[in-house]
Amino acid sequence: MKKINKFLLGSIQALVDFGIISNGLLGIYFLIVGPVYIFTDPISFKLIGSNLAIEFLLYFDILLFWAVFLYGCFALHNILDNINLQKYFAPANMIALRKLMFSFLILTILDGINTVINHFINVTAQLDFFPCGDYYAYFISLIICYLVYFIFKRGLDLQNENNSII
Amino acid sequence: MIKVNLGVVMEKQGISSKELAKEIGITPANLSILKTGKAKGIRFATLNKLCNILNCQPGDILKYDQN
Repeated sequence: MKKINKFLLGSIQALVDFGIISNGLLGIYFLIVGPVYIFTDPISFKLIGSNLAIEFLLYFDILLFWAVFLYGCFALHNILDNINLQKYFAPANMIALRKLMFSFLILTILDGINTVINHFINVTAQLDFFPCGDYYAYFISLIICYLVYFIFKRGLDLQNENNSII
Repeated sequence: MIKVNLGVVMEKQGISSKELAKEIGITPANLSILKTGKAKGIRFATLNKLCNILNCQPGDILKYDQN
């Protein structure tokens, strides 16, 4: 069981690291190519028209989405690092969990705004697989993080209490 | 309240804090916390080692004071 857990944790760490690298490269690529794509792509042009305000809003929305997602990935990377080093109830984990919660909160808000914009430009059916939108999944993740944060907080208190028993 | 008389017992046995900490396997800082009564608790294992090294009973180290 210990070996399986070690393998799983290692795999998850590798997956998160791959996510950070790939999203980092994708973000830099979008930063450069994004404006060209948004303003010249015939499909987006057909859907949005020549509404510059919405096009700019979408561009910055995607950029912010990417940055927040990367921020959350870094927080997850820190938690996994500490858990791999067997530092379960460490103050660093609390900070990382707070960062993760913050990123899920921003992702929920951003995806909510996206859903509204998509409804506004009538592209909901083409962009959303789930009728309730991805923001619901982010919101559930935020709640899970909040609950895990409380468990970690209690764990940290118990750890401190245990450390003060000699 | 529970009072810790570790300092008195140590003096009787003529053992220094540094020496005792090394014998028990705890840091001198933790021994100081224990000596000054600032520790929240003491493990049976630590108490066992203390009694063994200081050649005393747990009651010699810990005393109950009603005031």
